[in-house]
Amino acid sequence: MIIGSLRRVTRYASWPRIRKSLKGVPWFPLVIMVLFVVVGVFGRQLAPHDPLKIDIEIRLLPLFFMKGGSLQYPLGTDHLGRDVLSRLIVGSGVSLQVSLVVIAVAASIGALVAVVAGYLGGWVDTILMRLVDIIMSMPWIIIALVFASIVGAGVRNIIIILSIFAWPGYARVLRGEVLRIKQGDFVRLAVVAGASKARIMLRHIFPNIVNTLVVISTLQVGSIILAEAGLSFIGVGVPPPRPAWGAMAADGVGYIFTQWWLAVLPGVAIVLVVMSTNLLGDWLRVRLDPKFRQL
Amino acid sequence: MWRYILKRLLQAVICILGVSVIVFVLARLTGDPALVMLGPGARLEDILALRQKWGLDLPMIVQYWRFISNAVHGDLGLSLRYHAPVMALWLGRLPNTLLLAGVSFAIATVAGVVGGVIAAVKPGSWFDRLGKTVSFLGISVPVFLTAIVLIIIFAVKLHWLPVYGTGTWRHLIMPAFTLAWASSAGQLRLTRSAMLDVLDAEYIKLARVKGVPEYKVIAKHALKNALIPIVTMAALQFMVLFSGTVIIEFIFAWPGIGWLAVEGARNRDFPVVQACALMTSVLFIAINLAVDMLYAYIDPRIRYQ
Amino acid sequence: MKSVEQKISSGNVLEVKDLKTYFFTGRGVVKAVDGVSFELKEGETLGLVGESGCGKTITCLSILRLVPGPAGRIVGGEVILDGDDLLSKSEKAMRRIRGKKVSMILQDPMVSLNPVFTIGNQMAEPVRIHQKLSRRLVWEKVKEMLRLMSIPSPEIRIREYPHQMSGGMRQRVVGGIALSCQPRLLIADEPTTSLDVTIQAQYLRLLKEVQQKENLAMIMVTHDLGIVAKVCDRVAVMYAGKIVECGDVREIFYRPAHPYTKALLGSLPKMEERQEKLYTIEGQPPELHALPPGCSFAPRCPDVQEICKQEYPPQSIIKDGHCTSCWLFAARKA
Repeated sequence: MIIGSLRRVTRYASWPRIRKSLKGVPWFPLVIMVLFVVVGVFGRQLAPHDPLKIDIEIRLLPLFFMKGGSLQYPLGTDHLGRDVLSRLIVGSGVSLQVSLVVIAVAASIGALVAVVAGYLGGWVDTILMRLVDIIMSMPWIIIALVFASIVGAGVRNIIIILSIFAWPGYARVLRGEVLRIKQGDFVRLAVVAGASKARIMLRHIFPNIVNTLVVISTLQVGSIILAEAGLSFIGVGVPPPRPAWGAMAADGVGYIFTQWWLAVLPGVAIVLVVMSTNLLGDWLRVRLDPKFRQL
Repeated sequence: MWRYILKRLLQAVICILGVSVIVFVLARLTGDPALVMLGPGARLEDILALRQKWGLDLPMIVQYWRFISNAVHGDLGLSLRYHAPVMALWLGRLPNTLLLAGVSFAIATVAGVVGGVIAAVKPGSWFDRLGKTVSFLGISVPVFLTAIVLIIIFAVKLHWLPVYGTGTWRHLIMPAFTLAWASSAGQLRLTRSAMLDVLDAEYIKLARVKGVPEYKVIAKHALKNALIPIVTMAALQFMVLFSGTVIIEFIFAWPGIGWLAVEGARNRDFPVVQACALMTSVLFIAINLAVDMLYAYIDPRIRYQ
Repeated sequence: MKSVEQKISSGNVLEVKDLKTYFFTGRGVVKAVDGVSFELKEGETLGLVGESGCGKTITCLSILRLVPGPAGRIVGGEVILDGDDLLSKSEKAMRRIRGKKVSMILQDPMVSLNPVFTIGNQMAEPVRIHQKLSRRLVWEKVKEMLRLMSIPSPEIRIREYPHQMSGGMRQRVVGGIALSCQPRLLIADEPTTSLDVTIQAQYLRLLKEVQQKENLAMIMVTHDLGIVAKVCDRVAVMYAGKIVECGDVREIFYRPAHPYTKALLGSLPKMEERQEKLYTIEGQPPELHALPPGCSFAPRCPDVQEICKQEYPPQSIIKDGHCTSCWLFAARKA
């Protein structure tokens, strides 16, 4: 449907048509998401200050409207005198990077496993799905801690761990889709026409799971950002001094009695982004996948 | 029935072995424990001696066997930091975590199931919309933010509750509420959709035809059927809750296994984290098994297979 | 007092007068039941016949006041059971009638029993609700009902779950539930559609036997005219929410008046004469939220006249107890 609607758009692109297809688009989440991506990519250029520059002279400045605050540092400075606004801006890059890479890896593995297991069936299916069950019944956060205790904190490690635990979710849902699609007449027709298994999987099965793939991916962005923030918060995620929202909140907890906003602001940034992806995901789900409407 | 239990038991054992292999492989592939232990400036003889002492010169499969048989006997090694048996450390922290997770899970389940049932009975009502909003926030707000905001309001500003620590029931309120909110969201959504499905069923119509009072139609005929998918997901919900527990224990300095594991990871105290991973997996699998039994109790179609 | 007199004079168990049940949907008002009237005597079986979606089931649910809300509402008419108007009763009073004075057998036995409770539990429920009996007597009653429905070894069956029984057995259990409180009226909503043909005949015979034994009034909803011929005394033919023809079963079969009834009978394959082609009714039943003015059957009717498209025909009495709503007969009279 996505491929189809793109085609339709390019073929019949006219303003009333475009306006009709945009009806009901959740604007607020969309704006937040665009902002998140732009800020995530161009964070270094957009930040008013160097997010890493330590200046003990100006440490713990309050918000701009409070007593002692200045518009030069609108959101104040942290315990090392670094500009909070700049750190929030640059910190979005980590969330964006981790979520995009994890989604790409997990969606690819998940879709591959789903198509192969669902279409081939038999022992291939049994083994792959047992693997999915096993991974899904493991406490991911503890395995992440094991990993961190051996190799230390790092963005690459977060990506590896979160990818390992994200793909089974894709595989499970998409496999169900594949089993349904497999029964379709067009697949039988392709078999009768003598198409190879690989060709059927690639040309007939895969295009039909793209919609579901997109919906799951959108809904997953939020939980991956939350997972990354959680790991950074407990100190096994993004290592300092690179700014990450979760780690900034953890640093702020120490100043909760006097400068409460230090811990709250990064949290608010996370909420805005996660809420937006969830709203967009729900909207996409209804648009692309009517059978999910109930859930 | 017995075949069902046996199958689940076998699955559980495979699952534990899977975790142990992952932990073992991770540990061996990413570095030589002897090197890590002795540090970069160690002498070659010391390293070799330590390797021999720990059996690191043996083939991998033999090492894994030793690791497993030791683990079965409750020996998971010594903490690098506390020089104490990690098993004892883990067991010492376990009751705190069980208390926190148990209370939160109970709150989340009761709130989620009751809320979900009410929402499903009157879909589109103000309660349904409220439930939707609360559960949507529950999955969108990171647990640490909820915790921080609660601390700021109830501990820092109002001085009603202690900021962190353990000991009295007042210490339990904020961490338990934070966790319960985050995990009740899933329960509520699931209960609502399961109840909506069930309320459409013919046997509900038959119950009404029989003259069964409406509250009993919902509480007896519909809920017991809706519980089947709810119970199926309960183990998974417990897992979601547990990953929250790790973060919550860290914020509130709640001395449970989550905090133990986080400290271990931050101090690179590998044996501690390894024990936490293995033992927690065993715990989960035990919970999973219990849930499967409960499932068989609710659904006679499973019981009489 | 007046109602008692009525009861005695008319001898009717059930009188439905000008019943109207509408569904208020986003696409408009669907008149699922639009002015249905009929009556039923003790021991009598009325066949309610028509294509699917013509309002048969909603008529039955309206009698029990179980129209699926909030979209569906009974907007008018009377449902008089033994002289009492059910539509003016409170919900609580209604609950005491459902399962006790009026019972219903639902269509599909495979899904109408609750999978997580035992047969005994589900059969005992109406007995416990409507009769104050001791535990032991309730179980005796359940076993008695199982025997009445010819279910072998009731002592074992009451402890079993629905999934352990065949479709025919389950439908017998549903029948037993419906009959357990000696109802005055039994509504059977296509009770045999999902059963095997051989089991169908068995089940119908059983229902008929029980009906005669208990002197029950019964409404048999079906689209199968073969069943009507076998078990019904009178027939009401429904089309698009209205009864278009009503009469004795013999009258309807041998002297059908309404073109729709004729068409229905014509679409039955006959054994005696080898037909080259099965007769079908042209077109589809109308969409109930966009009914044409005049007679709803007009677009499909072979004998359509100009007036049919403008005004709904009044009821004409053809013979005592046989009436129809069709301009063919109204015109003759006028």
